Order: sequence, then structure tokens, then C-alpha cells
Amino acid sequence: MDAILKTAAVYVGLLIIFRIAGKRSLGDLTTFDFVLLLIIGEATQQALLGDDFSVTNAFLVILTLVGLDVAISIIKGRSKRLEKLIDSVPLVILEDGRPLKERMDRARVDEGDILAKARELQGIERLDQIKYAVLETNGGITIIPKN
Amino acid sequence: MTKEENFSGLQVDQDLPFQEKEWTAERAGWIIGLLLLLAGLAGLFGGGPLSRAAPRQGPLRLEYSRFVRYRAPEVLTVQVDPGVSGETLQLWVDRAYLEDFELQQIVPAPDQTRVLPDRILYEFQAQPGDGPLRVTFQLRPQAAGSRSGRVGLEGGDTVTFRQFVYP
Repeated sequence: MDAILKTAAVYVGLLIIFRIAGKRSLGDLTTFDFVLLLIIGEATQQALLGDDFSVTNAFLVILTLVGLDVAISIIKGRSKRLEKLIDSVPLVILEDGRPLKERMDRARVDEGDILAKARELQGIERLDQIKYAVLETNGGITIIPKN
Repeated sequence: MTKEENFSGLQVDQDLPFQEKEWTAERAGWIIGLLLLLAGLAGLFGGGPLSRAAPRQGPLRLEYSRFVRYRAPEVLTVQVDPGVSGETLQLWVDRAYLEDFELQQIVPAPDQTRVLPDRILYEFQAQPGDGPLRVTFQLRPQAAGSRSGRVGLEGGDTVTFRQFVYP
């Protein structure tokens, strides 16, 4: 019982923390982000397993995590509002080569990020070659080039 | 910011009012996070100035933490002024408290331990001319929530204290 409740608490806690941190925080992983992620995983793992190293405990924890994930994906499919609450919404941050500055500031994206993604995905050289840039819910930027 | 926009040909599920609320919630969350960190530094979650307490009752001085964490090592120190009870010093701890706080070790080790119905009595031999006796109880909380304990000298002063164990 303990293991399941503890795991659920950790799941919800992590969900809230990463939601508050914003979708950009772990969007495009830098090397350091990756290291940070490992440390976060390590810190969580200690709290989840404690000093119970049994296989039973491990499977209970895994089952709880996967179960919650499935449950949440089902809920998201049924309720648009909850989906937005958990996953956030996409945001257009550039239109017709013109960056939407205010939004970009608030979403913590700059022109360099858009240009880097444009080069990476479409081989685009300049901002005015982009029709739309969208900040997706997973924190990544997608680019639609002008024809 | 405009309420809703229309992008020609771009089918995107944008929701600016929601995005606006999200940003507000995000900023509020940052502030809450910062406050939690400051509270943590001050010791609200254990191990800081807010947490340390040292009540005194007669010759008895207790040092403990108001906030401790589940299964994290914890130290309770009892100091007894010299010349209180002759050669044998009899110090007792509430038995219900020790059931919730697994006792790992007592330093120095008592010469004798006696189990009474509601408390456990530890006897220490005191040499004349000794300074104050400091006894350290190394504990590991086994239950979360608010817990109270009592420490006392047999037939003498008693100190009652309260600890909160974070899960």
C-alpha cells in the first residue's frame, strides 16, 4: 500500500513541478539538461524505493507509474480541458517572418532558438523565409517554411 | 494580446486565453517554489534554525529537532547538570515515543536498562567531579506525522517535546 501511495505522490509532484517549470525547460535537451535529468531521476528513485529492494516493491512502483500514465492518457482523450491542463497548448511564435516578441519572451524562446530549429529541420537561412514557427506542447519548435 | 487569431492554412490548436492563464499559474508556481526553498533553508523541513530547539527544565537540557523526516537519521541529546542524583543517574524516555522512533544507538551506552510499563529507564554511573552528562540518542523515525515524547530524570524533572515527522 505504502509503495503505491508513495509512487502516486511522486508522480503528481513531478507533474506539477515540470508543469510549473514551463514547456521549454526540458524541450531541447542540452548536455547539462541531460545530466540534470539523471540526477533528478536518482533523487526520485531513492524516495520511491527507500531501503526496500524487493522485486515485489519494484514491480508495484513500476505498475503504479505505468498505470497512472495510461489512466492520464485515457482522461486526456476524454476531456479537452484536462488535456490542456496536463499538456499545455501549442503557441504560434512567428508569423510571416515576423517574430511575435511578447509571446516569445513569456515563453522564454528567442530568435536564435527559432533560427536554429529552422536550419536543423528545413535548411532555412533567414527568419523571413519562415511562414510559421510553433512552440509545441512538448517544448520543441516546429517550422513551416514559405513556399 | 488578441483573443483568437486565424492563421491561413495552419491548423493549430492554439488557445490564447488558456496560454495566458498558464503563464500566470507558472509565475505563481515559481513564487511558491521560491518560498518553499526559503522555508527549507530556514529549516521548516528539518535541519535549520527554525527546526532546532533546546528546552530546559531544572538540571535537564534537551536538544532536539522540531521537524524531522521519515526514516532519516535523527539525534536527540539530553544534558544533565552534574551532582543531581548522586552516583547513579537515572534517565528515562517515554516508551511510546521510542516505538515510533527506532532507537539505533545511545552514546555513551547506559550501564543498565530497565523496561517500565510506560517508559524505558537508562542508568549511568557518574564519577564524582564529572562535568555535565551528555547522552545522545540516535534515532530513525518510523512513522510520519506529529509525535510527542517525554524525557525525564527518575523522580525529578520532566521535559515534554513535540516533533513533526515529514513523510
